[in-house]
Parts: sequence; structure tokens; C-alpha cells
Amino acid sequence: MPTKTYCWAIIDAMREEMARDDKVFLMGEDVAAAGGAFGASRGLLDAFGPIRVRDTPISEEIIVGMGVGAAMAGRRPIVEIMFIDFLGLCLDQIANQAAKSHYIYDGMFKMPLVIRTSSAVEMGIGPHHSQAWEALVGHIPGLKVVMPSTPRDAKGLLKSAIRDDNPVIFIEHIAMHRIKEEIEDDEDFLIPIGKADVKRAGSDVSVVASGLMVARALAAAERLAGDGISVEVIDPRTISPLDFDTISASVSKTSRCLVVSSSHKNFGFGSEVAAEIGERCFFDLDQPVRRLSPPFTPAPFGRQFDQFLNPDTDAIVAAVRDLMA
Amino acid sequence: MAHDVTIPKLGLTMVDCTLTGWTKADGERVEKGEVLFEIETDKITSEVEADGAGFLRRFAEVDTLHTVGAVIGALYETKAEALAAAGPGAAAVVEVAAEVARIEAPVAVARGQRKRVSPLARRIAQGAGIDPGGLAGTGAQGAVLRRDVDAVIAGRVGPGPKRRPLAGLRKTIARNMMQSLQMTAQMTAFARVDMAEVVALRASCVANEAELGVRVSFTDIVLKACAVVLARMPDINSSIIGDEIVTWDAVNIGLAVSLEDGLIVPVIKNADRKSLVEIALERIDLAVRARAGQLGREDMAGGTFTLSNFGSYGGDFETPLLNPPQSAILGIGAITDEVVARDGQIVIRPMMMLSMTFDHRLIDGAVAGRFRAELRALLEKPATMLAGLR
Repeated sequence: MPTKTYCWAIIDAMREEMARDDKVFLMGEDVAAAGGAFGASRGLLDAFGPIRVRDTPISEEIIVGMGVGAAMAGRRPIVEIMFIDFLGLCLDQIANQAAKSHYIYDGMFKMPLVIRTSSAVEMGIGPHHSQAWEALVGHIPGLKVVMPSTPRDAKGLLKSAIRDDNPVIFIEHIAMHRIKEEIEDDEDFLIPIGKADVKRAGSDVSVVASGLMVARALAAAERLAGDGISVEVIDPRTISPLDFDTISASVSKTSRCLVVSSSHKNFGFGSEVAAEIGERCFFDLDQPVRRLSPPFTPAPFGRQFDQFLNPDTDAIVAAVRDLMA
Repeated sequence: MAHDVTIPKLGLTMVDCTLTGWTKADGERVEKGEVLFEIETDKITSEVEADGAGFLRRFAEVDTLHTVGAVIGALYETKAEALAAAGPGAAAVVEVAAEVARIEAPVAVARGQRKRVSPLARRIAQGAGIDPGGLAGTGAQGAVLRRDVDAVIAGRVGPGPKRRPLAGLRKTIARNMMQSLQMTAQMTAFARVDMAEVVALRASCVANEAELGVRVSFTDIVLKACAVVLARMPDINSSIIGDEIVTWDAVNIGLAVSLEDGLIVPVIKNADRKSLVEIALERIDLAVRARAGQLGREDMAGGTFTLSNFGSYGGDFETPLLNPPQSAILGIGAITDEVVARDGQIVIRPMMMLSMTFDHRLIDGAVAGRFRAELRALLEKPATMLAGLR
């Protein structure tokens, strides 16, 4: 199997789907001539031409609005919003148009729209480019929210998102673009949306981690294994709809749960997981469900404060030890 | 106008019951005389018929405890009224809730003192019959975790005690037995009876079984003798109920019948006016239906005296507990050949022990002694029972 970076997995997914279905097209800021602000659409302009790979003005509301219109007219647009922080500019198109069209038009129009966007948590680029908003969009019914943590998951999920008739927010992380993984060389390789993945099997503690936090949870699990603590790491991969069946099966087995997220604790992903576990697994719990999240504050410029922000491997190890105490 | 659906008083000693089922739904039309709900009470499950007509609104949940007279529902003139009805008076609800809470809820503990037990540890502990509150917890702030419960289970020899809820017939028996001891002053007296003539009488009856149509038992003969004495001694055939002494006008003798899980006491009514054959036929019918679970409450109501034969289990004597509001109970042991002195000679006679418990509040020792003496005289010379025949 060929080894691919996360970035090339994204490019491959779009190229394969654009070749497979000529209704699929890509638009966004610098996606065409520049090959993407982060290089995640390199070669697509040459392969498919300027009609299907289009640069847009710097206007996020118009980018998503055009995507909504094109999707209703029968196309399958992929639109790129450079940073997830910019969803604030186009939230009306996302929440009030894309997410509601199936409901409002009783299914007369499909909404096969993919909004690719990136989180840049912990890149030191300040409060406007460092947010984790998966919980924000996960709150809106009618949207699917996908957040892969590996190249293989990214490719399989992006292809599923493009083939999906519902609007999908596809969240990448710039810092993960360079990680590599072997990926099946199969143009119909898909990973279903809404299915969590047990990244490491274990029996003592379930750690539910998403996005950037998955690799740290795995590193923590490796370190804890040396002390005889067996950690199961679950990557939900899809934020909405969240695969509670897989999560609760794991927690019922281990009786202990830690949720690690780079989004805030308040009204967040960890809260949702903890609440659902409380309902489904209450009588299987031997310890309270724990959450690790960044503090409830905007992110500063620069990386000198990293240790105070997102949970790192040390914090995960400490929290797991606490659950085992 | 709504018609209240209330818990009826089905027996003299009935104070409460468990509502075990409704046969009609909210808003459903109910006619007078239709079966409306089921309750579990004094040793039986009983169907209760509607004493009015209308559209039903149920106020009480199944498996809740209610006192006699409690309003558990109402019948309305229209379906809409029934469905809109809110519920009974607040007082009735509070009373039932308090009663249930008293039985089910653990003792409330101030929050600061509450034992910390993880849900998993509590579940495993309960399954193993361990009180998790009594364990030393090794978790944060002394919390009892799974490992603490597992340690206790691992250190235990054997599987530990099995636990099941005290419910149904067993719960009723437990309550009645405690009430019996707490509400009455029980005195037990014993007497040895020479059963030679009863043995001969029974042998004669058995020899003529085909002609009589039934196999007469020792129990039938003793029961008949008790009925004869009770008819003569209304002071024994009496009860203290509240502030009154009630002397019953019928001699109704309950006969203890053991079941797989418990014991019930069907009643042979007017036993003083029935022949041995009638008593034998009725006893067999009641016992068969009791073991098939087919007795109705009328089969068990109205007893004024109880007879318990433990002799078939090889017992000699015991101290039977009264079956309130009755004032006397007789237990009979096995008939065994014993060495006794007769006219200065050592002889072997078939002897049986009478074990009689009286309510000493009502029955003085002298009266009890006379009853015992008369019963013994009848059993030692059963032919004298003929003298009273009309």
C-alpha cells in the first residue's frame, strides 16, 4: 500500500471523486492557481481546468452561498474556508440555508455540499486563527461534522462526504498535514460517516480523543502501558452524528472514561460525551467521567503559552493515573 | 359527578393491599360489576369489580401499597372528563407515598456523611449481597470502588448469601405472623390424648370407604371434635376486634394447608353442623384447589378457629401462632405408640399431643383448661359425639 501524507490524502480524495463524478467541483480562496493556501489542492487545476477548480474573492459568505446554490442546482460542490474561525462570516449560509434546505423544501432539493476547513489550534497564530469550533457546528441539526485524525481516515471520510447528499463540515488540522500513513490504493475506499474507530484496544480506561488529541492519547496510552495500565483510545472521527454506541460499549467495559478535546469544556464535545455516558453507562462507572480541554479563554499569539493551552501527553497520563488511583 | 374507586375491605383484619393490576385503561368505559382491578391481600390475589359505572381515570400506579378505603381512581360521566381529571386529594397521595417510601427508601443520611460508592461498585455489591456502605473505600475521599467490592468477594468462601425481595404471599405471612405476636397475648398449653378409639373409628371409616364415598382422615375426626366443643363454648369461638368482644354465631374452622412457598388457611364453615363425610369431602376439595392456586377469598374468609396438623411431618408438639382475630388454634402431632400407666399397669397406647395456643387477653387459663379437657374427652370417647347428633 502506498504511504501518503494527510495533505496528499485530501488531494487524492478530491481528485478521485472529481474524476468519478463531473458534478464535483472545488472553489475557495487560492485553491486553484496557488494549489491551496496550505497546498491541499495541488495539481487539481491542471487536472480538471478552471471551470471545476475556481479561485474566489475573499468573501466567505459568498463562497458558501455559491456552494449552497450550486448544490441545490444539482452540482456537488467542495468549498474551502481557510480557517474554521472564518465560519463566523458564513454561519448564516451554513446554519440557516445549507443545514435546513432538506427540511424546508421537504427533500425536493439535495444539499451535497462539503465545506472543507482547517483548525490551527496550537500554531501560535492568535485568537482569530486558533479555535476549535467542531462543537459549535455540531450543535446544528442538519449538518454532519467530520474531523479525521489520520491520513487514511481523512481520505476515506472526505470521499464519503463528497458522495453524501447532506451538507458536511470537514475539519482538517494544518499541523497534521505532514503526518504519513499507508492507505489502500482503491478509488472506492470509503470510511462511513458516523462510525468511531478504536485506535488502540485496552481494558482499564477509555480515552475518547478527537483531532489533534488522538495522537497524544495514543502516546499517553503507550507510556501508561509500561506501568501496566491498559488504555483504550477511541477516535470518534465524526463529531456529528457522534457514535455513542462504540463509546458506551468501551466505557461499559472499562468503567472509566476520559474525554480529551482541543475545544473548550463549556457546552463542548467533552460535555456531550460525558452526559451521554452518564445516561447510558451510569451503573457501569467506577469513577466520574473526566474531561481535558483548553482553558475557557481566547488563544494568545505565539507558542510560548502552549503548555497552558491544549492538553498534552503529560496531562493525559496524569488524568488517567488519577482515574486509576 | 365522579364516582370514587376505592380499596374495599375484604376481610376483618385487612389493613392494606398491593394494587397488582388494572383491567381497564384510562378513559375506558366501565360498567358496574365488571372486573376493574386486582389486588394482593390476605394470602390471596383478588379481582375487584366496579361498584359503579362511568369512564375510568386511574390515580394509582400498579405495585403500590394502599390502605383500605384509599381512593385509587374515579369514574366520570364523560371520557373527556375522565382524561382531564387531575388526581385524588393530595392527602391520599401523600399517605400512600409515605407508606411506600418507608418501606423502600434507604435511611436518608446528611450529605456530608453519605458514603461515596461508585455506581459500578454499588451494582456489583448488591448482586453479591454485600452492603457497600459497610466497606472501607480505597478511592478518592474514601470512595468505595469496584476493587474494594471485588476484594471482599475474592476473600469470601462460597458464593455468599442469596437475596430476593420479601414480596407476595411471603410478605403477607411475615406481616401476619408479626402482627399475631405483637397484638395478642399468646399462651400455649399441651395435653396428651389416648387416640385408641379414634384409631378404631377411623379404621372403621376407612374399611367402609366405598360406601362413604371418601377416605376419612384423623384430621377430619379431630376437626369435627373441635367444632363440637367450640359450639358448646362460645367464649373460645370469639374475637377481640377493636374495643369489642365479638362472639361468632358460626363455627368456621380454618385448616392450614402448606404450599410450595408458604401456607394458606382455607375455611370449613359451620363445621359443627357437618358430618364427617361432608368435612372430609370439603377438606379434600379445598386442599386440591389451594395447591392449584384456585382458592378465592371467600374460601379463606370468616375462620373462627384454626387446626394445624404437623403430625404428618413427625412432630410431637409445637407452639402454634394465632391467626388473628381468632382466639385459639390447635396443633396436632403424630399418633405414636407410647408406654403409659393405666390402672396401675404399664400398657402401650396410641398417644397424640394437643398443642393449643389461646389469646390470654380473652381466654383465661380455666376456660382454656376446660376446652382442652372437653376436647380430650371427645377424642378419647368419640362415640359420645353421637350423643349430640340430631
